[in-house]
Amino acid sequence: MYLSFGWSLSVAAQSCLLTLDGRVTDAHDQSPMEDVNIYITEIDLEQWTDGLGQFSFENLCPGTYHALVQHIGCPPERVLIELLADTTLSLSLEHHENMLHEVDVHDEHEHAINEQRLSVLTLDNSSAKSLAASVSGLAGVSMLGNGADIGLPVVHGLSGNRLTLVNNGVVHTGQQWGADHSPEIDLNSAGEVSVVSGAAGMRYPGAHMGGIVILESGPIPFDPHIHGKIRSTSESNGRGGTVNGQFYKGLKSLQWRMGGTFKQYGDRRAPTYFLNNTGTRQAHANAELYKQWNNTLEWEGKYNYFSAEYGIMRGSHIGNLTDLESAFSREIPFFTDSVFSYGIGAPRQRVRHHQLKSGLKKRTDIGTLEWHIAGQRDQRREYDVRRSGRSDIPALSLLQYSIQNEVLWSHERLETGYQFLGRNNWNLPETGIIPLLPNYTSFTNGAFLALDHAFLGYDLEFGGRYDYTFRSIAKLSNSVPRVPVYYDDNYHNFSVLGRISRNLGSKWQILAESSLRQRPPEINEMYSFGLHQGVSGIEEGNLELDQETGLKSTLQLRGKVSEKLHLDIRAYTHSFDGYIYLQPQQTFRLTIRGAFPVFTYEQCDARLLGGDAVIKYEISDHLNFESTWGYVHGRNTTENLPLNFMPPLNVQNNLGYEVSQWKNWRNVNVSAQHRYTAQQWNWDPSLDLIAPPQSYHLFDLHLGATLKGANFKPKFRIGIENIFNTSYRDYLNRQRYFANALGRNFTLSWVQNF
Amino acid sequence: MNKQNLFLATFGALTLFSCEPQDPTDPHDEELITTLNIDLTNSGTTLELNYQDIDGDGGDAPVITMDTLAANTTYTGTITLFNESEDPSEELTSEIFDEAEEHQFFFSSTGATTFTYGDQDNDGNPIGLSFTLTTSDAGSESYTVILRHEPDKNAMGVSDGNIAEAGGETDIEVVFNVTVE
Repeated sequence: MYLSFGWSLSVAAQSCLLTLDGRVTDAHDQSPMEDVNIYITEIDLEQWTDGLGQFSFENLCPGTYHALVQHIGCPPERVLIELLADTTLSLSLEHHENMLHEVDVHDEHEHAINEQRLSVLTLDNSSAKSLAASVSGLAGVSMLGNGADIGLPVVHGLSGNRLTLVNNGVVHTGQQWGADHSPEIDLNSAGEVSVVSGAAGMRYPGAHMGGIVILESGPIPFDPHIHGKIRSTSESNGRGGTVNGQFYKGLKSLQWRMGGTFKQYGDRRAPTYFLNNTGTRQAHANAELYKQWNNTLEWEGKYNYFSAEYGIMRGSHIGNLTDLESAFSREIPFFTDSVFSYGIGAPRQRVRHHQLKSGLKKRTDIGTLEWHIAGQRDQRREYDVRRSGRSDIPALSLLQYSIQNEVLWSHERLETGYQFLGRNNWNLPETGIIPLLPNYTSFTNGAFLALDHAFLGYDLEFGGRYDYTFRSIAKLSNSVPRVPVYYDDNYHNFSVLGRISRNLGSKWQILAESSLRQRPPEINEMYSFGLHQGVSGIEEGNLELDQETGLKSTLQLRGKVSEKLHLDIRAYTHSFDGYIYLQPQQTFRLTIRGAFPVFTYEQCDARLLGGDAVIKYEISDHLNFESTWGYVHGRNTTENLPLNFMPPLNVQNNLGYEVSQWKNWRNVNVSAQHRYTAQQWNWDPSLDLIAPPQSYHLFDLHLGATLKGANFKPKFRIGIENIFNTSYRDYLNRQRYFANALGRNFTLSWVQNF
Repeated sequence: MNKQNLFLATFGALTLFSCEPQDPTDPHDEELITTLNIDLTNSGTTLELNYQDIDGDGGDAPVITMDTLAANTTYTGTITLFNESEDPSEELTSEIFDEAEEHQFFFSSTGATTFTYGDQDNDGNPIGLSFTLTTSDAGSESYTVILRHEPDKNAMGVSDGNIAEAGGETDIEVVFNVTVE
């Protein structure tokens, strides 16, 4: 929602005879908006806008008022009014933030065409979910995970080392190499989440071949009182929930925000059994401070803390190949239970992450200069089932410090900058196990340039980036006697991007984009050695790996077929030279614990062909339909085989019904959701020990409304997920090897803005 | 790291950093079982079945040695386990015995040899550190010896030595191709 004010002052008596009136319009086409609820907290009165979008409060005393503006499909927004005289407000609302924006050449609020955002309403509804689960509702985005809480976003088929997460403008550094490593970011600290493919990518360092997930805390509105939001969700499956509070205050030249999240779940339940040891405990905190000195200089300081303990399903921890095969063949998995527990035992993961950032921005006549510096500390401990009380000693214990320093300069349509990223990553010698990864330091110096230019109705963009990475590695030799072995490597990486877009009439927009990117092989791809429970086998790095180069071309078309039918369609090809992947070997490794599957990193030429689409149809004023489709076809063209772990075809259909009032409730909405995931047909038996799971359909139902009450106006939402308690397994979730995914879940959430 | 790189690194790394990674230390894997030794005794004669893989997963192939067994004979078997990657080597048998309720050996043969448990944990379930082995007629057989950690000893057939419903993780799984004469 965007607000603007117009004060029309007139002479009024200093008694309680003041009038506050105004008009609400749609931010896109300035048309009047009916049925918008304006509530003034101090006097506990509400009004609804009429057909002309107008409202009026009379006989008000002079003073400070908070008006709460609510409309279906919009997050509630607060306006601070210093009422000294009769006042006319002019409000413009970002109507239906979750609907596709109409194409409007003059619309400054338009999101970039190749960017997808989670709306504030979606974020409120996702407060109990992981970051990956929340963004996987967007077109072309899936989730690669292990169980219910651990997940990595997959954008256009790419994840892990190929995906960059940017939190508060800082490239997130952690242990992203494992498919069972969740990003150490609390979704609740973010006010804006977007998935960007393309041009914005040049601005950020990192090995992202495809998309970037960007989280920002969002602006703090001006208001000299403390405001905020409390969100809480309880869920029946796992018998747990999440509570998050965010508090902020926005003065003229100083703003702050603080928040925290607690989350606890016990064992999740598949339709017919409890999944033993699948609980989680999490605590997160965020704080930020903004300070401005006149209009040209501003500073921001931000801190984020993330702490989580994840239980890993007991039955998914395997000894050897025989264990794995017997786990596959069981109807009801080992270590599933009829008894619920909150306990978290081995195997489990414990993660702590700190991020501290400082940013300085100076505006001058010749451009804007920014200097950002950030430090991160990431600690990951993984505990396995071990003998003689050693289950309390981590089997993997990694500590990483990273530092980022960047200087950016932007002027009109040009942006350029220099960036440094340094990491020091080592194994704490507490494990008593030969580490899977070596100790290393890594330093990257990079520079980028991005330009855009309007030309004959076309928008042209160009970006280029160069990164020089040098690393030093110290690992233990693979055979006894164990002595340190040292390696040094360095890489020059180039990236370029070109983009052209234009409006076709007033209804359609088209975009074509091509980008070439390079990334160095990551540490785990070159140097890992040992048993990795995350792949159920022995994982071996490959010193012979070379850089990976990818060329991605995208064509996107967005617009409206009619006033009621909106479309957003995207198609892309992504060709790789030296695509790095984990190849299962034909022979098994014999150890005293029996035979193990062996996985080695290899390179091939590869091609991804994909597309996604969002279709929105307004059936009537109250009823709307939305359908999201995504598919990517990955091929190893060297060996003419499919690529493993590509998201299968997935479809989400949502039917929503909204009314602005019903009895004592406001903004009542009901939504029915259908999710379909096809069986991955693009697959070959040489890729994995077990075939992809069957396709499945899931159905969810949610009902939400805001209570009209005194001062509080709480918003409630109840839901049932997986209504029919369907047993299914998801191809991209490692738990599918061992057990069914989650069964029916009842949810109750409460959002309180104050 | 050359001088130019050093300059670039120090430019950005204000604190917390050294350019060189920390030296890895040998974690001395105390839990690693490298060696399984089975003593088979019959009227004063002791035979041995031995499996040894000193460098753990990967690296060099394991070394397996076996004596020849006599046909239609009953042997008393005892299992000892070692970590021979350390110097001096460490005996790990007591780690299994101390957590007897959480461990069980399973024995099977491709021939007619039978195995009977000779010991019990505090719950009265078998462990398998001691057992008796009875050979049948002469021939070649493969014995499989499996040690499971956290099996469900109360599951069907498990206390009789049937592994199918046991679950848990395999700590040891070795095969001896023996000759019975």
